[in-house]
Amino acid sequence: MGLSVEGFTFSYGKKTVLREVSFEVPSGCVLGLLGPNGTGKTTLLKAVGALHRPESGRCLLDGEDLLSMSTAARAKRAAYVPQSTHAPFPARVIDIVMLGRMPFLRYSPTRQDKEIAAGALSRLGLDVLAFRDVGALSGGERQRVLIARALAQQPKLLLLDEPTSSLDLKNQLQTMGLVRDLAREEKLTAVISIHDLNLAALFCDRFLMLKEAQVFAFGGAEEVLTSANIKSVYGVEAEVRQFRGRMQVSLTGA
Amino acid sequence: MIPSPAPDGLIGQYNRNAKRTILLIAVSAVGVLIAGLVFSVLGATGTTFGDVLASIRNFFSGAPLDAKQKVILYLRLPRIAMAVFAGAGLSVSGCAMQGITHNPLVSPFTIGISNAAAFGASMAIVFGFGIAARSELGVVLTAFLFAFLCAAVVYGISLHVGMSAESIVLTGIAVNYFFSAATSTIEYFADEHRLAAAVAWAFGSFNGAEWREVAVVSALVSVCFLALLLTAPSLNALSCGNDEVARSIGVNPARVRVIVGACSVLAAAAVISFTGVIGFVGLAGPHIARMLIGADHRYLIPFSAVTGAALTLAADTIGRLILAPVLIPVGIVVSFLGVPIFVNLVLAKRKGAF
Repeated sequence: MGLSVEGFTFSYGKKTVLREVSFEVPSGCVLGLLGPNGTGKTTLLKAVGALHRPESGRCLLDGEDLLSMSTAARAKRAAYVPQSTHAPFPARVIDIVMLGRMPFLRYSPTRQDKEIAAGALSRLGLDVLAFRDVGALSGGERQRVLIARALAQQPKLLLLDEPTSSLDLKNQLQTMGLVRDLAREEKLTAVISIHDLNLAALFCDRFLMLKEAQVFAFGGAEEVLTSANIKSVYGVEAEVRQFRGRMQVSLTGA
Repeated sequence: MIPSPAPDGLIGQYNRNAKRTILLIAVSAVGVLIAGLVFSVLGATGTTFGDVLASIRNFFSGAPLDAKQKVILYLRLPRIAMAVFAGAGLSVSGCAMQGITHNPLVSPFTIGISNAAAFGASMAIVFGFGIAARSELGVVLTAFLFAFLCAAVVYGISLHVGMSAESIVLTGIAVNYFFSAATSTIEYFADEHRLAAAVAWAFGSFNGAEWREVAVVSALVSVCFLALLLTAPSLNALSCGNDEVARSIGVNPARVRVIVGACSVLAAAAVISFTGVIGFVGLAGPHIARMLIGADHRYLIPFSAVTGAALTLAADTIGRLILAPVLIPVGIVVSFLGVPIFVNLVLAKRKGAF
């Protein structure tokens, strides 16, 4: 059970962004997608959710092929949290979260839809903000609204595109902790693209390092987060050591 | 201050808000209809509300009508009905267009439909171009034809580049300028008599509205309204501003844009071909509605119809009375009336209103 990606290849025009990418993550686990800008992290994330169509490859979630099912069926299984959403119109938090019920709606939300949406709001501590305009919230709160909407889809796969990039330290830790807890509790697979290696080391179970459109390293923290890998992929000098059972990366130079 | 959760929980508050919104829409819709009847009393021929009721009663019973009743039944009521359906049609059209482009500046006017219709009307009036040239019907049909031609060009180009929101807005604006220039070119070469007629058409008015015209406009607007109401959940998904998110919750953005775009163009074109250019309603109607009841299209579409109808009805009534017996075209008055209301709401809401 979990996510299994086999042989993803994707290109924008002539530029190949992903080449033969394969990996597996069991459910309940968090996968960190690592790599510098432009290596295809976001493309891979979106391809897994079929928001971009890979030219070749399969993507199995609990044994079902996500790419061959309908958009509506896929929306009941995989949820996507974008990097940031500029809201063009005012919208209440509860209405945004209710959008997560869209794949299940006929027209208006039923009692059950409302309960699931309310549950997602509570789970993320957004009860008191439910009827506020999302534009009036802080960055951390807005990120939680987007995660709550994804949660309202009751997905088995949660895809997050750099969820911590615009957050302060406390919100970074809270958001990552939340995603890890959700993965454990709901037995879902979470895939997170992320730049901060220490944050990834704290909360992810598996790591996938991309370099030049290909998988450079994949596995647990000890295998992936090494000085040699970091030097090779990011081009920076780093020392890596164990600290309280987690890998810790100290950057020492460019 | 942190507001505390409602005693009956989130769902209770959600349901209560929804009920209040539905009630507001129902009450204001009835309010607009009553206002329409009341406004039909006002005018150069002195009439009373009793005359209005009597004329309606006599019409249905087949009893003969006196002069006052004829004025009400064949001049004022069709004009008022036209105002209601035109305002509703333009506003709903603008609301849906803003939703699919997630752009608060979009309306049937800004993406070129109004100016394309004006170009068609000018062609018919000045050159006698088109079907049943120069007749009233010819002007309507040619205006309608060009409104749709404009939409086809905008959607055709957008479809070519993936039907994104930006592509619709940008091609719409470009095509708008094109038709505006084309209309000016025709007007530049037109003789004075026909120039006057073409310019007068472009002002946008309900002068001489007849029941058969009302029948056509109301039928087309109603069909589009129902279709758009059915797509409301998809519009909610699209108007959140991110196509990938829309797709991730099971909505196909391109398909929704094509369906909703066709309906909103049809509604706007149906109205504009008969009335001429009425610009501001399609932009302000949806915004006023959104500021009052929020962004859920299940409520926003019907309430936009109400705010649009209220705007044109009030504007046309003012235009009929303020310099009577001179009739000021509604296309002019609606901006004078709507802009202060609009600016006032923007100021009242300040942050987050858009």
